[in-house]
Amino acid sequence: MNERIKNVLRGFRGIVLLGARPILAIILALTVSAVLIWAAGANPIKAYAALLEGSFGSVAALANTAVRATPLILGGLAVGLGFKAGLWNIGGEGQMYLGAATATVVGIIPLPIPTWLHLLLAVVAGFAGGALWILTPAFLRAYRGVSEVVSTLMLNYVAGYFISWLLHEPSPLAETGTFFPMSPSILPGARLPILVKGTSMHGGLILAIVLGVILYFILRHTTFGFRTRMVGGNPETARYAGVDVKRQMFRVLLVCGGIGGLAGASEVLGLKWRLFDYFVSGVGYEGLALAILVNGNPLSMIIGGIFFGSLKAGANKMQIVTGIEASMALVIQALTVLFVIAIGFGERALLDREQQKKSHAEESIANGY
Amino acid sequence: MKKYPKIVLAGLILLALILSACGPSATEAPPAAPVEETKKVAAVFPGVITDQSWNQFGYEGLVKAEEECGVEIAYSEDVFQDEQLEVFRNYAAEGYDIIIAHGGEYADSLDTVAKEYPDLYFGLTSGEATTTNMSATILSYRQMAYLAGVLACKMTETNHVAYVLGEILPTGDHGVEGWELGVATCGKDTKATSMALGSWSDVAKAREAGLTLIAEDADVLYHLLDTADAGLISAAEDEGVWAIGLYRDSSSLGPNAIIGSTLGSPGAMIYELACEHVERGKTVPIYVNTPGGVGVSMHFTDLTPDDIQQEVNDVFEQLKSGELDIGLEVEP
Repeated sequence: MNERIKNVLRGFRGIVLLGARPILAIILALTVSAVLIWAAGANPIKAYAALLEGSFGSVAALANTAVRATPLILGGLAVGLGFKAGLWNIGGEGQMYLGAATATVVGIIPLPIPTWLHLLLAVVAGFAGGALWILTPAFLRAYRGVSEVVSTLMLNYVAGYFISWLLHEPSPLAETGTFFPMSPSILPGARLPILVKGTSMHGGLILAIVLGVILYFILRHTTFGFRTRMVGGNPETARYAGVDVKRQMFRVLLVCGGIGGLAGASEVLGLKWRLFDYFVSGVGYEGLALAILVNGNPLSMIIGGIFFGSLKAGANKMQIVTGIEASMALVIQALTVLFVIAIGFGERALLDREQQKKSHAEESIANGY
Repeated sequence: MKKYPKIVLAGLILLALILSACGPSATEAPPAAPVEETKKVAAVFPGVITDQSWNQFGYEGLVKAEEECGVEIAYSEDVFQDEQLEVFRNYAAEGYDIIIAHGGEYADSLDTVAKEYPDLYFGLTSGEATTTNMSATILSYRQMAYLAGVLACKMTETNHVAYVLGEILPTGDHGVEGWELGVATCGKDTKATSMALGSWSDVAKAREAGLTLIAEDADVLYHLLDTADAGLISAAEDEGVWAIGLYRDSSSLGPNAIIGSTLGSPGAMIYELACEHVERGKTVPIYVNTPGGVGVSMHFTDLTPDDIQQEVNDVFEQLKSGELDIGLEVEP
């Protein structure tokens, strides 16, 4: 009985620690950044006040945060799902490009169907585009044992150039007579609806949140999710238990790629309404950072994404008010992730030491000292 | 005990690295004291303002406007596709009177925000004005490349000259046409090559391209590149052939190669907009007749013989007087 209560308490402590780790990391990152801001000649309190005002201080600010959070959450989910199966999808950028391109193709063709169906088709096309882009790395990883880290990463560059080629004349996807390579405008019927008038806040955020919740339930309450977690926990055990590990890895990676595609599609269908050359500027990699921060948990991803998004949205305000470069947001993000990793290592080191002590003690007893 | 110095050292190095990365920005912070009736101008750049090229020259134009037209300035650098609308709206909400976007990739976003804020004034470089509260300026690569072409065909001994572009964009198309027209003026059947590098900033790639062109007997190289120009010009310097610079006197990149440079800065586009020299709702070129010393012109080094300098200058004067018409990106 006593032992049981202890176990429950221990589990509870684990949950608190799990939640505390990112929060502690954020506090540490903000503290270190405050020193940096101070060293750069600005008042950190004023800077953070501007940051807060620029991210949550008004309807427009909230909309900016939402716009920035959307691709981060989707990009993070595309990586985080892979974590659960022990896979690293570094190809978020490439999948965003491809998803955006396929969504654009569907979005610019006039179709004799209701607008909601047109939008749905464009979104599905975005998913398909991302999944298509990861098809080769997924196959190579699952059935040939080629590291997905390298293959997905390398394909990012291919995707960037491929989109560039698509947007230069004489490609049918290139708008004619513009001063910058871009596609024709997405038809109004295929655009994600604007949620707050006068801002850019679009339906992509709803898509991201709903997807996060769905993924959480899939991972927790379906056989697909259970298999995924088994493969991530210990592939050998999973195979012994009768799970087709290779097929599961292949499927998980395809879904990861598809979600990455959705991240690109939502940017095009919701925010830009056109496919632009080089329109993904590192969001794919920031999604990776976010996934590390929340350890791949789809629900935490939503909160973490909004936090990262608020940093980016607020940073522009901070630059206008205090002159601190907006790139400070990236410094804070990076520090947060570094601290999460460092805290993780610290915890493990502590655990190891405790265990060592314990086994030492046991040895001593066994040896009769 | 032994562990701590290492950790402290690592921490210090990390701190120093990050500090050095964000240090300069603070000194360049926009002036804080708002003065009555001083126009507040904000410029938005797609890259960093220390890139020795498009963005840096653009920023220099903004500073020139601050000095000469008495405006108060602010800027944002590295503004990418996903934050364009947000940055424009932020400046608009902060009460900036003139908001300038440096590059055609901002066209859609600027148009959207210009319509939301009809009382503010917007400027676009390398694009077209789409609302009545917006103006646009286009640097005439056509005229610059024409002048370079005239100089190149007079200097070539192998009868092969080459033009290296970052990418083929509509601005680049004008450049290529101007280049070919210019090279044809000598009437001696000079081969005018143009090629796209696929990058504006890849120095190594530009050098490779330069060496390849030189191996094909090209002996005058001209370009429409950003930072990659250093690679192209170094190839000309090392192989002992000529090169022509863009935007500013480029002789520091190749003192024995640069015979001249076509002047006309991306900053001129921003300067003209920030000083409100452009009629609202209009798109105008920055070309040979742009007043105030910010238009297109030629700069020669001593490597160009005086008589050739004179001949090119004559062509320049003809362009100015309108005696010679090679077309322009947009009507002035």
